[in-house]
Amino acid sequence: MSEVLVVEDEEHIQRLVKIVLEKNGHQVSTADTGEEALEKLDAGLKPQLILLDIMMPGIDGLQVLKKVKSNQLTKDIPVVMLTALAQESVVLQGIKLGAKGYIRKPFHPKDLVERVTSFLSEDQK
Amino acid sequence: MSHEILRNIISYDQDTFTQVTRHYGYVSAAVYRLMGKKLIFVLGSELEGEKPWPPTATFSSDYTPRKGPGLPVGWIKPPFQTETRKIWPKGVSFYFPVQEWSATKLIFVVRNAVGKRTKIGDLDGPLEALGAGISASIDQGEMRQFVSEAHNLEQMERVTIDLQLMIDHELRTPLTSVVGYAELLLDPKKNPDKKQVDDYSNIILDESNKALKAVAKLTDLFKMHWSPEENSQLVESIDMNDICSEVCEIVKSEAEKWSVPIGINSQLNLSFRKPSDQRLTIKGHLPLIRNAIFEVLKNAVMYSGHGTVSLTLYKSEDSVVVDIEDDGVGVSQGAEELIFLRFFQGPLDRSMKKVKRGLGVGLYIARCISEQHGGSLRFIRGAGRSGLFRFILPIEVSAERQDSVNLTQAG
Repeated sequence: MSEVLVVEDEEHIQRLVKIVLEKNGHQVSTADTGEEALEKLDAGLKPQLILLDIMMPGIDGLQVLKKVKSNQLTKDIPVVMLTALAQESVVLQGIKLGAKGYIRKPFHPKDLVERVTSFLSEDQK
Repeated sequence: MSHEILRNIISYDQDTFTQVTRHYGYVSAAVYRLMGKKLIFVLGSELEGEKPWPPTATFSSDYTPRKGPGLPVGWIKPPFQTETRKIWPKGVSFYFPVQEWSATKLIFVVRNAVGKRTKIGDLDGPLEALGAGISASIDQGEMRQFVSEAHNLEQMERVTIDLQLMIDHELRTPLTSVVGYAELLLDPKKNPDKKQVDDYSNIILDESNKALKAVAKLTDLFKMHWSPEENSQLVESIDMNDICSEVCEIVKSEAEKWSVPIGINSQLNLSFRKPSDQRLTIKGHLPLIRNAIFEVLKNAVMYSGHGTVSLTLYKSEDSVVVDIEDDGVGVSQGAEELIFLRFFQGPLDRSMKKVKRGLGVGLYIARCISEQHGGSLRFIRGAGRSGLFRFILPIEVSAERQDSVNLTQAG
C-alpha cells in the first residue's frame, strides 16, 4: 500500500493511471495541474512517489519538479516523469533536476504497474 | 536578478531594458525567455562614452553539482564584430541567441585590445569598471534588423522540429488512453462490468477521434489551398453579420474551456459591433470564413488579459472589415508577421493560470483563408504593444443583395 500522487492534466489518462494503480493495491491521489499538485504537497500530502506529466498548461512539469526538489519537505520524494514528448533534451533536463526516471506514453498498464512498483521498492532500499 | 526579470520578449525593447537594468553600472544584463525554451541575453550599457568592447558571455548551469562559478557550457559571441566602432550609445543592447535553457548565472568576460580576458563580474555581484581604451558601439538600426532576422531564422528552424514533436505529442496523448482502456477491457483477471465496458469503450472512441482530428489538422496545414475556381459549387453569398454573430455565440459558450484568467474580472466580456443599417456580404466558402474568424477571435480570448474582447464589423470602401481586439499582452515590435507563421506560439501572460495551448496554427490558417478569398489578415499596431487583428475581405455587391437589404430594413 503506498501513496502515489499522479499529476496529469488529461482527464482520461489521469483516470486510467488511477484505476490501474488502485487495482494493484496502491493508494492514489491526483492533481489536474502543477499548481494543484504543489498546493496538495504544501497542505501536507506525503506521497511515496510522484508521477508527473511534463506538458501541462500553467506551470509545466519541469517547473513542478524543480519546486518539489528544492523544498525541504518534499525533496526526497521520488518523481517519475510521464511524458509523450519525444524530445530527449526535456527528459534529460528532468533527470538533471532530480527525477528518478520516466515512463513514455503510451504505456501498457502492466508496464506502468511494474515500473511504479520497482521505483517504489528502489526507494525503500 | 535573472529570475525577477524573466519576461517573454520577441524583440528589443529599449525602454524596458534601460529601466530594468539601471543598477548595473557599466555593463548591464537582462535575461529574457523567448518562445518557450530559448534564453536571450541582452547586454547593454547605461552610460555614454568609452566602453569595454562588447563582452562575450559565458554562462554556467546551476544544475551541476560543483560550487563556484560552475562549468561554462558554452561561449556566446556577438554575431557581428564591431572593432571599428568607438562609442557605445546609451541604452543600446546586444542580443545573443542561446540554444538551451540551462543558465541561471551569467559571467561577463571582456577582451581588451591585446586579447587579454578579464572577468568583469557576474550577474549577482558588482561589476568592476574597466579602464578606458576599448570601446565599441552598436548601430541601432542594425540591431533591430538583426533582432528581427534572428527571430525569423529561429522561427523557420523551429517549424520543422516542432511539427515532428507536435505530431508525436498530439498522437501519443490520445493513444495512451486507447491502449490503456483497451487493455483494461481485455484484462483476463478482472472482468469489467457492463457499465465499465460502456465507459471505457466510449473513452477509446473519444480519444481515437481526437487522434484523427489532430492528424487532420496537421495534414491540412500542408494543403491549405482552396480556390474559388476549383470549388465553384461551394461558393455562396455569406452574410457577415450572421457569421460574426454566430462565431461570437460559439466563442462565448466555449471560452471557459480555453483559459482562466486570474483577476477580478474573470468573465469574458465579448462585444460585437456591427452596422445597424446594412448587411455586409462577401462571396466565398462559408465554413472556411467562419473558421477563420473563429480562430482569430479564439486567439484574442485566449490572450486577453482581463477578458475584454471586441469584434467590430464594418464596411470600408469596397471591403468588409472585421476588427478583433483584446486587452491582452499584445504583439511585440517586429513580431507582427511572425505570429502568422505556422506553429508560432505566443508568450503566456502570467495572469493566465490555465491555458490549453493549441498547435499555433490558428492565425496561419485564418490568414490563408483570407487570402484565398481575395482578402487579407493583418495585425495593426496601436500604441505600444496593443493593436488589433484586421480582416479585409472584398465585399459582394449585387443588385439582388441591395433588394434584400431594403427588404430587411422595411421589415
